[in-house]
Amino acid sequence: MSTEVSEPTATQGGPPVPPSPTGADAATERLLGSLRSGARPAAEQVLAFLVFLALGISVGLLLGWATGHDPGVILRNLFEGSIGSTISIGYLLTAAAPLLLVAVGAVICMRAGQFNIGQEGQVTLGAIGAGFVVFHVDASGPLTIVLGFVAAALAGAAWALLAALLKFTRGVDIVVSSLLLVFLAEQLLTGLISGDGPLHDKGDAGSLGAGTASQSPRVPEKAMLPTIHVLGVDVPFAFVLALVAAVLVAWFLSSAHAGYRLRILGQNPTVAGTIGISAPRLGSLAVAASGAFAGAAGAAILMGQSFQLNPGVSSSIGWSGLLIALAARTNAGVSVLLALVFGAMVAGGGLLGGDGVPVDIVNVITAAIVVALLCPPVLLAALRRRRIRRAVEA
Amino acid sequence: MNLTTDLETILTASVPLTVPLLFAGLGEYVAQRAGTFNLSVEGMMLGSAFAAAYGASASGSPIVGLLCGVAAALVVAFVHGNLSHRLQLNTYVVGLSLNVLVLGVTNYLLSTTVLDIPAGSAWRIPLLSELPVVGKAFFVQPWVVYLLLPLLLLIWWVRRRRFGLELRAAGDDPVAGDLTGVDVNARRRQALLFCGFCAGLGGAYLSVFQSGSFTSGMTAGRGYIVIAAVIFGGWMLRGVIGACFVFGVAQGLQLALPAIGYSVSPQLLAATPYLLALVSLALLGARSRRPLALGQPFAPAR
Repeated sequence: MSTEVSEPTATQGGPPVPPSPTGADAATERLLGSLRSGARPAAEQVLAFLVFLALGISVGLLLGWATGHDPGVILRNLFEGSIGSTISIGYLLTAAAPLLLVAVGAVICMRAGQFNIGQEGQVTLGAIGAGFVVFHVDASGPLTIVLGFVAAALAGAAWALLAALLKFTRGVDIVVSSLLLVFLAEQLLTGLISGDGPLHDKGDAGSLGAGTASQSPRVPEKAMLPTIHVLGVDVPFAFVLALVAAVLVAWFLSSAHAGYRLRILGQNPTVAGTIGISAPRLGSLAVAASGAFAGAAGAAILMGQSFQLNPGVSSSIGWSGLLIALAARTNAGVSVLLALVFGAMVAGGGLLGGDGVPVDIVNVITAAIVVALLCPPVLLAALRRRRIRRAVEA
Repeated sequence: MNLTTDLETILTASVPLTVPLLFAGLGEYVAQRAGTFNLSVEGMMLGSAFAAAYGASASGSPIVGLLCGVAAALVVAFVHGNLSHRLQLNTYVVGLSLNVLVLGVTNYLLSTTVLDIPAGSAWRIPLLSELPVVGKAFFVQPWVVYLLLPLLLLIWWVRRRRFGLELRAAGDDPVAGDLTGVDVNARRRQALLFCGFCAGLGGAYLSVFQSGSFTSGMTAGRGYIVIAAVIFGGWMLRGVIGACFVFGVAQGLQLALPAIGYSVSPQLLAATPYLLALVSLALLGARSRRPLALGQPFAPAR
């Protein structure tokens, strides 16, 4: 479902409509019409969005209150820890970067009608790919970082492509295969970083648990992602990258010819077939692209956040990013907003421990926000139905 | 070392790991046949495991714990059913976000409570428990385990009754079901509630009866293994049961093999369920007996 407001709206006053075609052409016309008439009352949507966002946050605060913690304290900590100072804004952006990368990728494949839900696994593969570069390739700092991102994107894309191949050659549901691949990726990572694995910390790096624990060595200093100083805030490089990606994808989907074909494939595969769009080729490409973005998120985590591979390195960022894309209704612009909200939760959660509030409450709040944000379209549809009924009765 | 004792070691390690998979697997089988690709089974089990641990700890009675666990899983099922089959939200999204929500809630509550779960005792079935190899593994278990039998009989019996056929219609051809007067979305919600009940038993077994404790995220992907089991089992009752056993043994081997002197990569064994499910899907492809409307929302034309 498309909710963007950037679509051209001047359909009423346009040139006279040619005589309506028949058959597949008619279906194409209808589809193109529905793609163009994406503009709906924007204020209503923004209001519903804000109301449900507040609702989601309240659920979390209510749980805190029910277990004897002051909701005011929780709210203040979340606020101060996320946007209270320039340092915390930096934390917020660091946390938001991989989430945004995953969400942007998910937007692409969802728009193409491919329900890839394996981002968590593709993030893991991305981290593995970046790990191989960082720990085994001897190059200068910037080159290592670039190679790391490339390897991560390739690894994530390859993992996603497995699911796409299974769908288009064997008819396996992409939901199922991408989900199963998540858990295979987890075991692959554990295998690589434990025992005799090629990414195992042999013990000469001097880090905690070296040689025994299932973990990789620490990322060398030269491969750590830099920050860019803007308006007193240290903006992490990964966030700049993610923001650029989001803008490019939003433009691609709304304006580019290929993006248009992608959306036709997503909205009506039959029409796509009749106008010469190859579902296996374009669909696989979309899934691979989403995997590449998720993989890049893995690189951003390894080189910008965790600086070490361990069994939980993806720390549910794949799931959260996917949920952001879905709660944003596959809109790249809204995804940026939501990624910032989620990043704020992660960054703000850091302060909660000091006041004795378990940090896990931020996970409750973020999940509640997602569930709440799924509801506005239902509410808006109900409102619209009522308005139509009133209009008919009047 | 001889074969009999080795087999017995493997079985006694595997059966306790198979039981929660079987409970949840029976429920997931019913939910999927009715057309819901239920991803929230992980959340159902986890919520139940915590609620059961809490209930048993607060009341000192495992039975109260079990009831609390089932109630918690039913709440998850109720929310899932209403969001995806009443409000028509995307069922995958609802399932995933419920998993995240339950994980957050249980972690949060765990850090504010101290659990002291009463120890349960195993039931020793007379005669059968004396059998060589299988006796100790199958017939010396906490009483909850034996609930699997009536549950299985219930599903097997209902399958060919009117209600069972209506459930399958909801999963295979909701339009035809609707035309013949079946409330498709109601049946799907009921199947989800049944799945919640089963997953609740599995979760409660996990915390109260098997390990006697609750740890953060203790289901550790079992819900997803269950989904893999339903796929690997080809959406057939006996297939699902078989798959649960295979996956339970794969988990059990991780513990048993070092004990009897073999070494196999634990990651390979842990990956087995997902690998088997993927390979069987790839080989069977479109010929598998997947419910035709699995995962698709149904909006009655009224």
